Amino acid sequence: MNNIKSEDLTIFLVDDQKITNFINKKLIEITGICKKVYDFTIPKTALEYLEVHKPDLILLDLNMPEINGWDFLESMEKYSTHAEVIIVTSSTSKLDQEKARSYSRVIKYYTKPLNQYILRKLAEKYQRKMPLKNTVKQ
Amino acid sequence: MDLIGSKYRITYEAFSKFSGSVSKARTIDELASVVKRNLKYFFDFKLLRISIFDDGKPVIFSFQKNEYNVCKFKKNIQNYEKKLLLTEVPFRTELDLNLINNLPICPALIKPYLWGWYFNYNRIKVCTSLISDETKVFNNADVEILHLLVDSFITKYQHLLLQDKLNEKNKSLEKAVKLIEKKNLQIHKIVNNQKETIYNRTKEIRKKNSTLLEISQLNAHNVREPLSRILGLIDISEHFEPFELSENILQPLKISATELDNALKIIVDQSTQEISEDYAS
Repeated sequence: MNNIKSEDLTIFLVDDQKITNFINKKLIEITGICKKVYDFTIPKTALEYLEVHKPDLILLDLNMPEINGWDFLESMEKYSTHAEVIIVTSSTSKLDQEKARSYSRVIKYYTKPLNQYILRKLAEKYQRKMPLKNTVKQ
Repeated sequence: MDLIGSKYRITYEAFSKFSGSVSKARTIDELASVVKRNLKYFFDFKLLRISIFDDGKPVIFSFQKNEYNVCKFKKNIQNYEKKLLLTEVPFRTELDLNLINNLPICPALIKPYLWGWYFNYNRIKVCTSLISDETKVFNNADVEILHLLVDSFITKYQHLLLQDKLNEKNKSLEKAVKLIEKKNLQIHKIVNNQKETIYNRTKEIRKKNSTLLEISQLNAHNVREPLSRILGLIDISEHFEPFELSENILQPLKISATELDNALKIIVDQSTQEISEDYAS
């Protein structure tokens, strides 16, 4: 993960709302964090593709039918994946926020909606991880 | 050894024995008995009266051969005692039976004499009087041992009185402590009762609160979900060409706005229902 170039990142969007995925995908495109974005409205499908696309980052909704965000986090352990998770939820519950902290995979917790500012900061975070490699290449 | 000398020795031995008995007395009655038993070893007499005036209230001990009595009546105070309290001057006089009243002495006295002494012990005043006659002669040499006797008697008397008062105070203190304990128990019971009552009465409210919290959390989610999409769509809209707007922005905006509208309708209905339930109950 630490040695991946920002544009080489693979991101999964997991949210049962198609429109939300559409918005987040557009935000990623605008801010240019990466080119490889896969969106899923059915969490189970996202799990099945974990080992196929090997995502580096997953934007995960909490409130979803059948498999909710917490179930998704638990199920991820059954797969070989290094993906970090950012929770993106419309819940403002402090309890959810506390619970999210107990997962080492979860690196951030955002209340919806995401915006360009948040994503630009995220892009910076991943770009900052790469400068050494870039310098060596030149 | 001369007669007087041996008499002194015997008397003082008797007195030391007497002192031992006095110190062992646990009640005023026991103390008086000790005095009664020992008097005959100190001097001869027909009647010995020790009248104690504690705050003006008399306690009069009368000792005769083998008996004593205690009296607390003011009317029993003899006139010569009243005079003694005023003058404080000891006296010895031939006894005029007409000048005394109610004294338990047999009238068949031969040349009786009345002796009187005044003692002052801080708070209490003591009149000691003694009647003697030809058959039971009391003389000046006996005065000293009489003083010692009265001293010893009064000291112990005060000591026992104090002890009685202390015991009484302790008893009333114990009673007070018991009363406080009882009251505490009652208060404890009342407090517990109140706690239970409050708990029961607030049960309903707590239940309602938790229901309301659930509703509000659910609503927050249901409203925020479509609203967040509306905000997100507006945020990205500037990055679309005009011809793309209808499909990519306006249509999802309409869907999300409708969802928001529905969520709000449900909330309004729920709140109205909650309120009308409150009014009904």
